[in-house]
Amino acid sequence: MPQTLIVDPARCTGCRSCETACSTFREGESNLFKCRIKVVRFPEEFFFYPLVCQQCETPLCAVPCPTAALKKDGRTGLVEFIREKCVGCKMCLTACPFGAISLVDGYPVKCDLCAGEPACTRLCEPGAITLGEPEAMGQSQRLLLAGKIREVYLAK
Amino acid sequence: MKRLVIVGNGGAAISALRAIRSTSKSHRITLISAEDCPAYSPVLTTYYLAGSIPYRTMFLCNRDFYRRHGVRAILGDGVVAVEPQDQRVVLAGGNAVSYDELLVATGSSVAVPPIPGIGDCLTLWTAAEARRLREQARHAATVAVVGAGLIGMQIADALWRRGKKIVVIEMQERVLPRVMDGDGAALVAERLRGAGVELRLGEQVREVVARDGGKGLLLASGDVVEAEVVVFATGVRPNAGLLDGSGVKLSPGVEVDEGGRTNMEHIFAAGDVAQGRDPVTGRWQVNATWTNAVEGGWVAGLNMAGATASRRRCARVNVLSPLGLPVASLGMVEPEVRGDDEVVRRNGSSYQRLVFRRGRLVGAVLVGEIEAAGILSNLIDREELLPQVESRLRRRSAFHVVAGPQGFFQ
Repeated sequence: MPQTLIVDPARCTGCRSCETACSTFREGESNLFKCRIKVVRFPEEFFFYPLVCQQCETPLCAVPCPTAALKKDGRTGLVEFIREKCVGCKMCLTACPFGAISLVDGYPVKCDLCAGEPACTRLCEPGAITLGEPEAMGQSQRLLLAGKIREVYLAK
Repeated sequence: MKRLVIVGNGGAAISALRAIRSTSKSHRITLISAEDCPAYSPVLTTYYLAGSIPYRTMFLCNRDFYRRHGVRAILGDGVVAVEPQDQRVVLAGGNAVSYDELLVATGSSVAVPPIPGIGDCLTLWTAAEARRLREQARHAATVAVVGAGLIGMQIADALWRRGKKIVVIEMQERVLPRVMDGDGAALVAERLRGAGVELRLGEQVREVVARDGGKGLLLASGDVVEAEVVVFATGVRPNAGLLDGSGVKLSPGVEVDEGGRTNMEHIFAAGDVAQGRDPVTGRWQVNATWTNAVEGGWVAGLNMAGATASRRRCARVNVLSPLGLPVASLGMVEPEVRGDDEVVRRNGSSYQRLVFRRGRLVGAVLVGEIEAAGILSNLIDREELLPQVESRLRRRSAFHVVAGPQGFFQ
């Protein structure tokens, strides 16, 4: 069963260790501008949301890609990014509704689950990010989360 | 089983073909294109021009692709007329092809202004034009680019990377008019000038004259710009000539509804040749972008095949990085009517402007940091009321919510 990063914002403290882990492990430097996961922060409500690629079934980022550098791998479940094919046009950035694609040195980067051992999960002390099957997240938990996001984004 | 005819061979055409095949293997598809080559993306022509990809990488597929998808491809013979009463299209070579449903996806071409002496000038849009420009620019030291729109900026970027001295001539007082707001355009201009690109803004080319080993451009101000190679990037216009007299409504692009249908039965249109109604302004407009072509083609293809699909989205989304400066332009880039509101943020070389109308996000300009472009264009498409986001932005707190990681350091 394909796995993905399961995020539980209720546990996230906004410490940004995941960002540090991601950039250190993947880019070789602790740099908050070079991470594949980003913590969206609403400090006033003390609500934090680690934002990362959802490995969509129908990835919207792949739609405009003129070189087919992004594609869904049915076997692994990953939305795969093939750097060698990418020309750096950045249209995928304007297509991802989650803002889950980052730019590093002019080229997109995205979460690929670190070949099955995501660095961010190891450093997440409160356990807000775990590797698992998306189906494992209960319906009630999902509704709760959606409600919270709606509240902080859209409340009158 | 229906006879489906696709005229064109670009993003919209290929996307429609895939959409049709995603629903059914049985429809008979004929694809007709004036260009005698497999489909390619005009997005990639500037990367080829810059030398960062080889010629063949511009192509989305090879000739075998059509056979594998069970498509009869007529390449190198364009459609010159559409005859709706007989449900057929007439080709330049004299043949006619009948259709049950027709998709017009003929794209656009560079609109060259009628300037004395312009002759057979260089442009950049098709693969052939890209090859010709690359060939001619090979030994040039100085290249003049007329027009500082999206294509002009990308040509300037590509040839600057090849070590050319670039002069950009633009009629408007700013680069990227219509795509950028004034302040964002100023940042782009600053980057260009800093890299040695010469900008002649608010200038018009009056005449092109032959010069020893190149051309001279006589400007309205009386100045003369000399360059070995001159490229015109003066905007594009829809290739809708085949529809003249057909009864299909043009203004000047083909007016289509949310399902890609024209005013005539059995005729669809998508891509640069089509124009949709902007959800914010209500105006009909052509969005000559690759994303728009791919999305429009997909929806039209599904409807041709008998499925039901529509899209609300037709917001203008553009992204480019002139001389390495990432820039995104979404929807309405400046307030247009009284009551429109905006939030502007500046932080070093990073700049963001968000435009609101009655509590809804209707446009944005991002310079430097553009990672929030997807979230923002999604919010624009959804037309969701965002009073909370707007007031947060106004209070200058939590700007990173929609505008990227740098907000953290403020």
